[in-house]
Amino acid sequence: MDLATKTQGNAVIVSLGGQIDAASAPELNTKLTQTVNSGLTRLVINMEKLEYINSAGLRALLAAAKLLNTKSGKLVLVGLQGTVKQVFEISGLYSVFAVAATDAEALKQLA
Amino acid sequence: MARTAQQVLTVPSDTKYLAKVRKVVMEVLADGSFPPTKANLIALAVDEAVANIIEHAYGRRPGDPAPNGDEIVLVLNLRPDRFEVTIRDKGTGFDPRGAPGVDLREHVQEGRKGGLGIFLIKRIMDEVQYESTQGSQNELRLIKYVDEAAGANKSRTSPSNDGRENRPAS
Repeated sequence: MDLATKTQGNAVIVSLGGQIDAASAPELNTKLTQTVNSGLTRLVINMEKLEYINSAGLRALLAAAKLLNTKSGKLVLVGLQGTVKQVFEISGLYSVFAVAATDAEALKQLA
Repeated sequence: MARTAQQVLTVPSDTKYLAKVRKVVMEVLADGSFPPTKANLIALAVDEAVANIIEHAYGRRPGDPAPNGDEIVLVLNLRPDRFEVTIRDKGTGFDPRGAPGVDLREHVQEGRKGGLGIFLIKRIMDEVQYESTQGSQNELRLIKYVDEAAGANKSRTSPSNDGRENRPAS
């Protein structure tokens, strides 16, 4: 899994790449939890370069969404495509998360 | 036309081998019997099944070293009408067919952790069969039919719960 963060105003863009499975999901969980607990409660998760995600990765995102709920924060997913998008669809989570086409659009949703 | 292919893969009970499992599934499916997106989802279902065995049957957390002998054996078969994988382990038995359904509201609002992986396996594969010999070996078989109509028919007729013991799953 590749993970890069970029702060933009009062939001943070987390760009994910590679593959997220049960081996790498704990790292994602830790990173997202640290980010939210540091006070950054407006998150854009960009998945344009993400090739694979399984239920462990989905759970890390759900855990972040739940933590953000307690802090009046919000999370928007960007760049869902291919198999990653299908996993969100068949799990039913596509309708649970806020989704945007671009980072700029996601930042508008968070404004 | 679909060819017949078989591969046997033995991996230690360690999540770092999940990428290898997915790679071998994709190799077996490389003849194009299934469209690429469907092949990717089949690899996901096998990944979820193996991850479940590592976490629940063998009780390993990510990063824990696998003790000698904690192995998972996968027998992957591509036949003209189906892909079939048999996954064997010697851990604590767990029948995924009886796992409760997933309430997404619970996952989001209450942080419920279990069941999502098995939910995905059931959504992707046409048949989920399970057999456990007390104290010796568990055998999980997942089947996906090339013909979607055949798969839909099998999905309707496969038993979902034989009343065996359940425990939390991811």
